[in-house]
Amino acid sequence: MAVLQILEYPDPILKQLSKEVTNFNSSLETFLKDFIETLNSHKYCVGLAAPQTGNLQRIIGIDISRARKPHLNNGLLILINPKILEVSDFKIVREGCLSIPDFTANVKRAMHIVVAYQNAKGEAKILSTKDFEAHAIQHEIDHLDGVLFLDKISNPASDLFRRVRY
Amino acid sequence: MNESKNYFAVFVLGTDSPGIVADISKALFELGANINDSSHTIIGNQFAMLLLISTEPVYNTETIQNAFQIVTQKRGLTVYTHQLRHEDVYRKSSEPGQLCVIHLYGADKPGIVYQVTSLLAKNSVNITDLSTRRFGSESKPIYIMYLEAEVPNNIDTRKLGSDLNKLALSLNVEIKYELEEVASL
Repeated sequence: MAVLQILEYPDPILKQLSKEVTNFNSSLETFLKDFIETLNSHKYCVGLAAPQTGNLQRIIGIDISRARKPHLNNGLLILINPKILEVSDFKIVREGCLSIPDFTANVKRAMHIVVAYQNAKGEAKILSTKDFEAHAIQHEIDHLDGVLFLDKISNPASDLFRRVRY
Repeated sequence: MNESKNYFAVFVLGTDSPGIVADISKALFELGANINDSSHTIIGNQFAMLLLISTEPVYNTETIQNAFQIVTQKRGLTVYTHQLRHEDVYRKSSEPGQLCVIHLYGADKPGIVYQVTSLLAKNSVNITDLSTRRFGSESKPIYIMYLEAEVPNNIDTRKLGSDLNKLALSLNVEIKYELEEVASL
């Protein structure tokens, strides 16, 4: 088990497209252990995408129970090959990204989504979720497509905020 | 932040006209200065710009002011340069707090900004962005305010919300108050 290094923009890997996972084998299992350990190593971090660790596979991890405040959530979720089927109830929300550590941004996200994915065993699942969890899943799926919040903001003066240092 | 650089805040103010930004950035480019952050707006017909620049350590406020001499004379601008201490280049805080957004609008009357901001100050809320606009007819002016702030984690946010609602009633304005957790992803 190991905490993986998080790539930071402008690392070009963050702008690449991740590949579908086809083999649900032991090397996937090993990666997932490190991936979850990495997610858990960052305080209040509620989501991580495999490409942020340099692994260009369509894998995201979400755990809203790690947020500073309580939100409705499904605990730790590993979503492999996730596809958003439905979006509704859009809202401007603030998000930070481990790969762009100095800033947070105002981004428009759907507050209700339905997502199809495979779990760590390769079983097909459907999840309908809302609010903070829906928001986090959309941010992480963007990473699988090489999309960062920098692609989503319009005006840096009104949408981009220098992060207050912890 | 680069420790070997000098940092300055530069304020530029003057009557608006096309080409001011190009002239200012040309002066900075020729000086070899880097524009780290900038914000520019029009207030009335006044051009107002605030820049945070970094330069080689040989520069001081005087050399920066001199670099703007041609553009200030040509355009009648006021330029003020202030050297920053390294600890003031970026904001630092041990406690980030929660993000709070306040929208207010209503018939204009004296003291709206003062009363809202003094309630926030009493609660140690740090305002990070504020913009206001007065519009409508002179006889019935409307005031609108947008404010972003950081609320310390130890503040009772429900009480703050209820105090803001009371203030909205006494000022006879609409106040919308939202608290949000910044998603850490």
